Amino acid sequence: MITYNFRYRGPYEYDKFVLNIFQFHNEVAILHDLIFQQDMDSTDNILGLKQAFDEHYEQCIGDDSLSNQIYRQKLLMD
Amino acid sequence: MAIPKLTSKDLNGILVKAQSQVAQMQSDVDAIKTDTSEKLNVLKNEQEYALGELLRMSTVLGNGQDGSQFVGAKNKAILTGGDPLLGTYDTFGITVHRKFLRQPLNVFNLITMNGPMFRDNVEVSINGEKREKHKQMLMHVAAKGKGISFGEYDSPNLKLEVSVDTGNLLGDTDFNVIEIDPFLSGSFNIKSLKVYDMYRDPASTTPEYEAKDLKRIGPSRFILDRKHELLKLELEIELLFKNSVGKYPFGIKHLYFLNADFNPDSVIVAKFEKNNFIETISEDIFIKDQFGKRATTANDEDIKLYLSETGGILEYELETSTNSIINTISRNTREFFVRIPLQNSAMVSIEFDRIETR
Repeated sequence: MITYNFRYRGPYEYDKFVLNIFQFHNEVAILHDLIFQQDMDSTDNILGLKQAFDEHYEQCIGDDSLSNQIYRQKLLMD
Repeated sequence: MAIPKLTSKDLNGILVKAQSQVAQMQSDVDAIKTDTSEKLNVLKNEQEYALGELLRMSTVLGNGQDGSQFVGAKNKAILTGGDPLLGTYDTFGITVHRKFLRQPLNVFNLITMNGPMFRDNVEVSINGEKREKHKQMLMHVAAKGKGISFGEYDSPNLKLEVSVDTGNLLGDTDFNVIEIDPFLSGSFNIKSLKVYDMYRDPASTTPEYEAKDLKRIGPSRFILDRKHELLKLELEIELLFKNSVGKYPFGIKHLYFLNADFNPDSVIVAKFEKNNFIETISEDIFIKDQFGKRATTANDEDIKLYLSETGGILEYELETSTNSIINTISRNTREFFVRIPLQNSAMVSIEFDRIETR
């Protein structure tokens, strides 16, 4: 993905106008990858964080959740 | 080769595409936020509930210094949760039941090559309020779009209704097993469970199947008397846990209606172990099944006791004792095996009234 380093002033105004549009598009695409790309190795990646959170959640409310373990123990005392 | 010059329409298209991607990202982030927030709410309530239960259990253990409250625990076998027991049976959660002859059909989830597909021809309401979110409990755990059906309520009494949309039938709704997996195990009672069949006298208000007073529901299956073609299920629920903000949390991970065929020759073999040599074993037993705990006898339930087990074969049948007939076990043994034929209801535990040792 290309990002451009524009000079503030200079010739080629039309080119800069077009490149600005490309730039906007590319920045959005890069941002999207940063946030959502699955194989991106980044702690800022939302999907990575979400996946880690979901794994923790599954452990906490899964078959061996604390409340389920206590529930099974209480069956012995009923 | 000259690079073709983009028209203003092309440039506008690129801008619009970028803008729509930003909007999509916003909506995706919002969805993640909502999902995370719901899960955090479940976790918060689960932790609070578990901590409360743990404290309650510690109090009971602390008060029961004479051990009288735990006599039953010593003579009891929970049929699930530990090492797999011998026999022919299937389990879910805390319940064991007759073995499925084949994989049961899930009434509202069609199992396809691409995973489970939810058959959305049903309405779920809680306290009369129908919401799409409530339907999530009927979806297969692996179904696409499965969310969380969890809420906090002001009143401890809930009425949950599952009604089939008769104007949009997508196949039959025959079922004979209800599988339930709550978020907070043991946090509610089912005061009444009513099943209404599809083809019934419209004037009749009597359900075709009814069960009452099901205590402290955990992950379990309920086997019905026969197959019913589901029109409506009504559950009257009593919530027992009030959280720190004064609300009653309630949620179900999944609620399945299964159409299953069972092997009538199913049995399970439980093992009892004692620290000392066993002298007598009482004929009187307590069985906890899907309906609750009941007193019965080993003879009535066709339950047989054996001294040992080798390679899945039970050997040396033992006699139980009553008040009038004492059958002392002559061999020195600290363990014995109980062969339990599984009836048409899901079992949780078996407990002997007395096991005397020497």
